[in-house]
Amino acid sequence: MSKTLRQRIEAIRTYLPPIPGVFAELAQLLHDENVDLRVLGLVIGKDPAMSINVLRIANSAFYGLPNKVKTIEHAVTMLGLKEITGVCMACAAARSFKARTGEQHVDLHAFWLHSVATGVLARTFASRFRVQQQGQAYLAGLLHDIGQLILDRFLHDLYKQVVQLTYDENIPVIEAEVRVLGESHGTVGGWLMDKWQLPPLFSEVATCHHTVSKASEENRLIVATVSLADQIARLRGFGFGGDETGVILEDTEAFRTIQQAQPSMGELDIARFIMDLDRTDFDIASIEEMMNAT
Amino acid sequence: MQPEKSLTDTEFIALRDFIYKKTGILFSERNRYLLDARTREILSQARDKNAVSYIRSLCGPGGDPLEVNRLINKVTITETSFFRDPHQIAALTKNVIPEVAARHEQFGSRLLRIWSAGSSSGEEAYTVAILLAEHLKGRLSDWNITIFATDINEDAIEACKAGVYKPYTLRNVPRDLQEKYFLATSDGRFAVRDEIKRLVFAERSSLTDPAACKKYSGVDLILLRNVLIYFTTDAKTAVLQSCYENLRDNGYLFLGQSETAFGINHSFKLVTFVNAFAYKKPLPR
Ligand SMILES: C[S@@+](CC[C@H](N)C(=O)[O-])C[C@H]1O[C@@H](n2cnc3c(N)ncnc32)[C@H](O)[C@@H]1O
Repeated sequence: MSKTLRQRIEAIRTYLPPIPGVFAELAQLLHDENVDLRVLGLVIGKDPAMSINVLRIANSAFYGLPNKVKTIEHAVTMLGLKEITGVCMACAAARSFKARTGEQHVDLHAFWLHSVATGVLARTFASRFRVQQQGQAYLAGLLHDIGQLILDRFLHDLYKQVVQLTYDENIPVIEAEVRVLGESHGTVGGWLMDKWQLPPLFSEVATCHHTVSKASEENRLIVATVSLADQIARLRGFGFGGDETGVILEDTEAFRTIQQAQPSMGELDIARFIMDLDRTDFDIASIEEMMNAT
Repeated sequence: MQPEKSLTDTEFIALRDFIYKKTGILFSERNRYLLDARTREILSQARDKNAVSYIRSLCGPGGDPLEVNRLINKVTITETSFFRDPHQIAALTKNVIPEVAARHEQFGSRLLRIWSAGSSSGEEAYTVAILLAEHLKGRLSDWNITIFATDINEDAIEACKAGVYKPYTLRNVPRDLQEKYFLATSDGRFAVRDEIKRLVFAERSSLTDPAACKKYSGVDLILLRNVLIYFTTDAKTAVLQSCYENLRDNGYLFLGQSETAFGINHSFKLVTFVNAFAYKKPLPR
């Protein structure tokens, strides 16, 4: 009997391959045995794949902590230099998972930039909308699309059809996924995060970022915040794939959810609000620049 | 050179009010220097070189409409170019034009009306015509398309009707499209080809005249880009109301890339595209 999609995802044991730029930076830092763990945390926090790898070990049964590890800083201090070096070495092996050249696949750099942009925007929005789990907003944004990376890396033959479809028909990626796979990248990301015992907040954000109303009441506002950040990141030009469709943001579940919590959102000039995000663009661009320098 | 005299307060107010009444454009104290610079030549040729009596002569029974036009032509900012603002052009190309065309196909009506309001010399209207031709490919002749290009500035409308442009205003036109839709003239300019030119209908008309605006109703797309910048809130409100009425359901309005309709018109739905915005007329509920 052939395995279901879910079984195939949950069977993934290897680390997710890090973005080459981040990996190079990390490798360099790790040469120095006196490296500041906080710096290490900052660098890891720039890459969705490294972040999830580190969270996975910190939350594994091996450590058996009573509370989940929810931030990279916490994970890094807990694991220490030796363990982190071990993850990196294992990742060096995982890096060989490369898409064959000439095939349509997720543009890694664009994926990475979109993840960082969503994280940065989610952090900005979370403080503005007074979201309770503000401290996790960046990481939740960084990780929200991890399902796409998983699909592209581990089920590449299927996923390249999805990517092709978004370009051919200018449709949202999620529509293409449901047509080809019957599932969305959100669900897929959630499966692996649950399997890897990450804090439920992250898997809920991943699972529900296109279906905000399905999120638990407890996490709905942060899910909505990341969902809005995700859409605005794409609409500010930090998108990837072929989707360039327009959105009536005020009619989205994300916006409505936020508006319920923050009635003053009704008086927001959305166009001006988006135009004025230049400052955040600057943050994103400076992270990107750092990356290109290495 | 002699520094020329600048407008006195009384002159400034008289000119400002007259222009506001005619165009909806309000020169604020901050933009006084602009009005000053733009009217200097005209006033230096006026009989007693005084703005107050000059305006009185325009308003009086012997007032010369051509002179009024001359003044308006001077004070309007007609800066424009083909394919202005690439993000808006992308939103039109990838989303708006395909959507509007598909809607017509679906209902079997191939009658498409578009309005470039405050079109200046016509680059915007011809740009849309080119985008449509590209989208409809060889089927252009199956469609009945009218793109209205209106402006209060007579000189600009004449330029639009002529349809011949200096190379600089074509700087953002992709090479292949330039070759396809323009003809080089012997004096180094570019003439819009006939298949494109006949889609555009240009005429002088003021946006502050609601009755005149009614002529451009039943449109699927309005481009009102970079026109409202100097309008007062009242004038903006009235113009946006005209636009709303003129649009068909699900039609789109584009303002300039840094303009918003927020706080002026609440009937539209803001659609966010990649680095571009449009206002959509929703279906009645
Ligand atoms: C800066 S141009 C914009 C041209 C074009 N829409 C674009 O974005 O490239 C502004 C135009 O608006 C016109 N305009 C100003 N007030 C107007 C009014 N009341 N009625 C019609 N046109 C007006 C001006 O004459 C000028 O040509």
